[in-house]
Amino acid sequence: MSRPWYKLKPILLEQIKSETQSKYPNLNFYIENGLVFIRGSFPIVHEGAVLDRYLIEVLFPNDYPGSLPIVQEV
Amino acid sequence: MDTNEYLQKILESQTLSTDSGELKDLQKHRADIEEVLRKKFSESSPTIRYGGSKAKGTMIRESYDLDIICYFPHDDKAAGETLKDVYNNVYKSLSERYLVEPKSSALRIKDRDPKNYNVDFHIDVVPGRYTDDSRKDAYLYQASGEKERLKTNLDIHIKHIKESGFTDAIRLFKLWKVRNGLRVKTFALELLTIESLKGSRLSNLSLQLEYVWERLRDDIKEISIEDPANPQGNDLSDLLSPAIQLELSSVATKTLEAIQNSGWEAVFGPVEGESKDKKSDALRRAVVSVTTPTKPWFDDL
Repeated sequence: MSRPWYKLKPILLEQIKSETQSKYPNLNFYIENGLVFIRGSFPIVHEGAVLDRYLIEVLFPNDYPGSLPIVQEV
Repeated sequence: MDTNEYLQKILESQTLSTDSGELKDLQKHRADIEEVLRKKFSESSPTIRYGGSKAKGTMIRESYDLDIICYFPHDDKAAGETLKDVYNNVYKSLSERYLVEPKSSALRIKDRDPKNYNVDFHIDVVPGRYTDDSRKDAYLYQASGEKERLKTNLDIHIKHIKESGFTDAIRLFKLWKVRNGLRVKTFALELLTIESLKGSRLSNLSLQLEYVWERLRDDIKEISIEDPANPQGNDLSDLLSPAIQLELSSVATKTLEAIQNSGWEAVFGPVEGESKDKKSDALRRAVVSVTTPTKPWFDDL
């Protein structure tokens, strides 16, 4: 079985983490059963004001970045 | 504005005022649900009342659910022979009017009107049966879990939380949980907060929060929680599984770092005071004003 993408490309994971959390500090990264997830609340911001928030989960597939992450509201 | 004033403002912004649209909607739905249940189970005269955060005084605007308990007398059989029958019969009667999503012990109520199909009312109905004539302890059916029934006591739960002296901290921890998408159950988080702060003699809200986060960061494995309504009988260890502990500990660490580096607004954000209606209007205006949609992908992969 091939190594998970985040072990093959640890710099990519760190880059995504850093870019995401600098803008969305409430989105947290977790690695569970060999899969990378982001969970947390995603704010809808307009002209500096938070209009609403959505609790989301983003799953990075095993073959990321070959496949796109899957986003769902939870 | 100092830290504690800021936290109080956050709490105010998370309070559903009695004349808010959200609370009025909840109260109307509650009255309708109660009417359905009273009509259907008129022979049994169940006790129907608020439970959960509404009764405990820990409701927050960002994530509010209304728990309505519907407990039947211990010797009543009209609502069902067994606890499972009671649960299923309440499910069936509510399903005649609502879309009902079964949970482990509760029934989630949603709209079945085609115009608003599946819209969540944020209401859970919790069917149960009192254990005896005193109408204090009750058994709840458990669809999942080792045991098929759970002994509980609503008044003990309410008293434990309400009289803990830490309801402000609990409300802020609930907000922290929601904002960070933490999977820990609210009940476990409430108990963790009280257990951590018990005996700490901290009256300052910001110090209470930091103290609990430090405990979650440093001693998560040492903190144990028990159900005040049935300390020996209800095993809550599943609520603090290793995965949940890790999640709590890592986000607590990140939170403490955020306070250190960027201050408290990095945790709870700016104070947001606008009503849901005003926010909806602003959201509609924002949608209209977006002329160039953002690409949902990175260019440089």
